[in-house]
Amino acid sequence: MRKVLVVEDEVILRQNMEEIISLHGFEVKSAENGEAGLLLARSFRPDLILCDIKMPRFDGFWLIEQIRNEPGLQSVPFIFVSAKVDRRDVREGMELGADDYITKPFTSNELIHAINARLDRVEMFRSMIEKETPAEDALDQKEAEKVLEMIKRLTPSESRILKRISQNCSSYEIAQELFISTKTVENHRSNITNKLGLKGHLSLLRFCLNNQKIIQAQNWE
Amino acid sequence: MLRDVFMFGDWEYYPTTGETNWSEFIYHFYEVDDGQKINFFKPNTYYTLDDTFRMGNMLEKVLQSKQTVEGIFQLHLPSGRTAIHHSIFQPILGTNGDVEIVHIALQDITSQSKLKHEHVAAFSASSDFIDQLHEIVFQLDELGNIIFLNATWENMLGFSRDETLGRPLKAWVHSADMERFIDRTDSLIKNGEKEFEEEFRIVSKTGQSIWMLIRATKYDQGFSTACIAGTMLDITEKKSSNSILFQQRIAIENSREGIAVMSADSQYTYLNKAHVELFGYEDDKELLGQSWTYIYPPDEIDRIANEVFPEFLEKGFYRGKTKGVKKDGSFLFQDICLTTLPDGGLICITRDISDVVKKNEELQRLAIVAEKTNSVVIICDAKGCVEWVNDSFTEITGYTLEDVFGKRPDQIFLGPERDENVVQSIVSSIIKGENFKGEILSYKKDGTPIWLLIDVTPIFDERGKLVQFVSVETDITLLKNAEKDTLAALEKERELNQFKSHFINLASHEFRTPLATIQSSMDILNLRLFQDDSIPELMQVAFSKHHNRIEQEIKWMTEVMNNILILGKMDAGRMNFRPEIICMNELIRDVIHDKESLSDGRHSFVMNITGECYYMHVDPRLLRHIVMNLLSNAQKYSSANRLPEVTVEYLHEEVNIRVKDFGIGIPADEIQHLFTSFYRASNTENIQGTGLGLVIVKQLVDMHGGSVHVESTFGSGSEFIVNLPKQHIQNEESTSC
Repeated sequence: MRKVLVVEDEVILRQNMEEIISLHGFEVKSAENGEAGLLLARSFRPDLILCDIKMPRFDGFWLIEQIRNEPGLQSVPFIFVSAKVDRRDVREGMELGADDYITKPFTSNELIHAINARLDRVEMFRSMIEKETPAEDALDQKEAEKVLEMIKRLTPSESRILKRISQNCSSYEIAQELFISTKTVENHRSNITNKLGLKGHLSLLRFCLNNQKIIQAQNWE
Repeated sequence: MLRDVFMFGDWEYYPTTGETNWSEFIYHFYEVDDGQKINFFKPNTYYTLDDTFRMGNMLEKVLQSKQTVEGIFQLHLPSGRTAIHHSIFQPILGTNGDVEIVHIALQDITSQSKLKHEHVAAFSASSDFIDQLHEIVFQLDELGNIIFLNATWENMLGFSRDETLGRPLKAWVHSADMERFIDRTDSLIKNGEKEFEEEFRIVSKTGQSIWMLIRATKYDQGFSTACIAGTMLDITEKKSSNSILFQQRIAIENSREGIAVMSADSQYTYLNKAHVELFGYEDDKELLGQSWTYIYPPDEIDRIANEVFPEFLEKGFYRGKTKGVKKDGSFLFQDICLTTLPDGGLICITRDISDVVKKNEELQRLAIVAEKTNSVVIICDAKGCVEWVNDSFTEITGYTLEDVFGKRPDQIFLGPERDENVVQSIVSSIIKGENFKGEILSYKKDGTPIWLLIDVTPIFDERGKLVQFVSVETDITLLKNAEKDTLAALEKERELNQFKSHFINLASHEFRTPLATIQSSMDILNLRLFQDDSIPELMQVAFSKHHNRIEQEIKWMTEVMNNILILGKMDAGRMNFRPEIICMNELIRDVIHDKESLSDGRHSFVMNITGECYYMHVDPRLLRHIVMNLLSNAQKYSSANRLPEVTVEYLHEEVNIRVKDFGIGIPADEIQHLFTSFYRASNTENIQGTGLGLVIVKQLVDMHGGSVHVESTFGSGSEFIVNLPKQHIQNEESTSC
């Protein structure tokens, strides 16, 4: 069972998050501040951490710095769940090494979606490393042309979003950067997935990783 | 009667016999009866012994040298009268060559000596004395021929009397003066003039011209023609000093300053060119002989009489300013200097200071203006020391002129909070002769602080020399206090703003966690409800419906909070504006596409482009938001009958983005409120909206330097027009797209 650590100072929300996540089949533990979160992370060894930013004494920024410097924990996916919605806050959090950023209020779907997306990505990397077949080697010229053909079907907005997904940006980051709502990004995401003939979130991520070079080479803004 | 005039007479002496032959005049002269002749060569009652001997010697000289000898003698007459005569001993040779007769011509010069000329008084002394005179003594006959000269003639000119006597005097007069000399002597001899005194050049034997002052008097012998007696005085030296005077006179004549000499009876006797011209006259003759009052206006005459002259008479000189009147009636402002002359007259030296006066008048006018506006006016000398202050100065600062005279302004107005740096910059401006403008906190005499707005202007004379400073100072204390109040108000406003943005922050952040809790609780309920099969389906449906409503409202609240946050950010100027060169058509097409695809094609738009399109310099993020918002509105308020239209209008210097729907429209009287926060038109009750979207749109358009307005018909649709200026992009050639 995959393990999720929730760090949130608001007790009711913390309990609610714990409940939602466990209802979705995860093992959950929670802490009420950064310091307690760090101690718990050392013993609990979570597969993913959800963390608020604004907390008394040791806040989320403090915790991510500790985690990213802690042997054995440094590669754990880390998602901020915050009431801070300003671009600057998001950027700061992401620069400290967070994998995603969810703003309050959020629906349980959004929360679970973000958790799954991150864990899927980790899973995918792990399997790719195990197979020892680097993504780029798998591509031959013919494959590349096919990919190009496919991505040309996208609208400019979709292309922009695809490019950012391939750069490992979260939906929230993309929404902030393009000055649109997260919902719009999500809608675009599913449109892109459909247009590329893919199925599900994970396959889009895989497509992006596999074809990162081609996508990055496109002159989209 | 006869004795009162010059008279001639003669007698003869016969050396061989010692006899004499007297003319009647001689008898008369010596007051003796006929036949009672006196031997003058022997001691007698008439002459002193010395003179008798001298006369004897003269006779002896004549006999031996056979030349004419002459002399002047004084004698006492029996009547007790003293007479003076001049005698010429002339030898008349006989056939054997010896002197047969000595002819003695005698002239009674007593009257002459008693007449006007001082030198003739010397005739009363011996003839040696006459010869020792510095002046040449001469006599001319009615033809102008010389009949007498003293020895000075010989000494001075080198000609002997022998070669001179009998010849006309004019022969010795310098040719340049000849005509004048003849004219003068003629007027004496023929025209009844009595005398003249004039300067002539006489030529000496060595050819040298000697300036002589010739004084000549006419006299007659009582019966016949007129004769001339006179003196000549060597005035060469005086002449040369005269030439210095002459040069000085030229200098005076050509001086730029007006110089006039006035006689004791206040009439002009001399005016130099400058003086004549200063008063606008052409010729000094127009003013010579006039009283000074002729060129002064009446009020000034009174003032001069009452103020200037008393001082002048007391001190012997006067310096000051007067106002003259020119020939054309205009005024002449002058600086005059009066000096007394020994004869009771005066010299007036005058300089035109009209320009200075005008400048001063201007300054005074300025001072008056400044006074009217209740400003302080201080006039300082070139060193910055106070010379004059106006009334407002005293009124405002409490200091009087006596308090501050001679002080520098920085030594006045002292107080604890005065900014010495400002004082220093004023002082250094003054030292450099520069203008200074600034504010300074000063102190009144009673210590009250006063803010002064200072404007110091240096005044230069026509030669560029710094002469004065004029400082105009305005009391701006009230203004300063008002400024303080305004600053305080601004500070309060700032605090209020801070509170506002703090509140916005609070509202948009602090509600998020409770909302997240509500949302998560609802989600948990939902999850549990659907996992529990014992719950009736009807219950599940009802729950699901309300769960959705709550979720929608939370989303809605979140959007409102986001919008408030955006507005707050724009208010605080923290919204970044990062323009890029973009193609407007593409951007709008893109947004339309997004709208369409996000609504699964349920909503669509008609897009038109008019005009020659070109690249725009806008922030694509913000512009996208603008277009997105307008399209959302068009979508929301449209009717299903007709698709909304989006038109991009490229004009010469601007672009219009028109978004037109054919929906419910906006009541006319509500259009003006559309861009006000939280305002929603009365006919939108059933359509969701925050009332912030258009406010944000307007602000974003403003950030682009553009404008947005609405044209709407209630019930049949609205058109939103965003007008954006064409930003000039470098490399114009490639701007079309």
